[in-house]
Amino acid sequence: MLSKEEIIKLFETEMWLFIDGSLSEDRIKFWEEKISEYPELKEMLIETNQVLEIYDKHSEVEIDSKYYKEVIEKTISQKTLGEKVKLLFGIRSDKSANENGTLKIAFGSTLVIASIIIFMVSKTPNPVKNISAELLEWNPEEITEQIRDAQITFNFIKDEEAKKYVLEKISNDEWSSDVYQIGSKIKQMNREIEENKF
Amino acid sequence: MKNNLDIILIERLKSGDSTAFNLLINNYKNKLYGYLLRLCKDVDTAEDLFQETIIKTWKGIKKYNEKNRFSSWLFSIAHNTAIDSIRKSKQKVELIDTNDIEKGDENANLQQEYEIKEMSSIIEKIIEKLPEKQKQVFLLRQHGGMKFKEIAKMLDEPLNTVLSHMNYAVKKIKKDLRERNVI
Repeated sequence: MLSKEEIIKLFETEMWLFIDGSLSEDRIKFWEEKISEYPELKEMLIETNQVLEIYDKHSEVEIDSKYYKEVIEKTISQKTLGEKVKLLFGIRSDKSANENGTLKIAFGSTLVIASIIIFMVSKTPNPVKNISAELLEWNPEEITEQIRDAQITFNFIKDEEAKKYVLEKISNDEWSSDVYQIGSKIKQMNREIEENKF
Repeated sequence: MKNNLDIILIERLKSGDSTAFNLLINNYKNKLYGYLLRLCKDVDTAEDLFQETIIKTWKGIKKYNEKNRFSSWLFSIAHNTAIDSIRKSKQKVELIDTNDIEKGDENANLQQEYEIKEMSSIIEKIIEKLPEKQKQVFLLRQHGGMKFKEIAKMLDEPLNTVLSHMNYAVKKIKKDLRERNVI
């Protein structure tokens, strides 16, 4: 048997379920009896309702109707991704059983087609393949021969005639080439005179 | 008890009638906005959160389970949106400036309007002083019309804890109103 204080304490929390109508019929009946038995419980219930009524009366806020209209219009005009895909493929928004399957097939097909087109259109060379081909074509004998040719070319350039040839090729000016050659000869003669002094 | 009008409107909405959305939200727009305004205390933020809630509701309507009440589902979206926003911005709630209340109006209507405004302002201040959890439970109950079991589930709190939050919240409001000779 609960004391009066215990009942009041219990009602403080259970009162909310009583107001909500969330209690079982037996429990509602139990509290109805207690409320008529103890005026403190009735007073608690009345005061609580009074507080809630005051709050409800003074907490009403009206949203700006223009703003509300804008929000609703903006929201309704938004399409979800699924709706966009449906529109793209002309799928109607009825509730057919195959709706999801059709949608998935259509979306998947688009991805496959797009992948194939991108693959065919793309002209980007594959650097890995090119490097591999060069490495496979490497011939040691040919490389050795190229090195020997380069050596001959260097020796040839040492020769004065070759210098003249090169100068002519570069400058395309015979006069400059002759002047250079005469200059070289004079330098060579000076060197020989110096060497013969001793 | 489920709202039959809500059920009809949701059915129409799910079958592609977008005009039903306006009718559906229209029933809750002021309570929803009031809830967000009380929770975040800033008109601009409340409007942004209202819009975000409406968009989330629109996008998620097909996932809505008719076993739950629409109002509870709507307010749970609003609550989560608001809490996320508050957490992100770590915004400290500020009291609404009450200086704009006109004083000394002799006209009876203006006097009445002033009293209503003043009482609203007093209530706002009382609610503002409540600890966060007590405030959340109280606002969800009063604005969202949610049952305590629904609130407990939504906040992931034991039912007795939620009832205790509500009890303390109402006790504090009652005490404050008594001190101001309102009751």
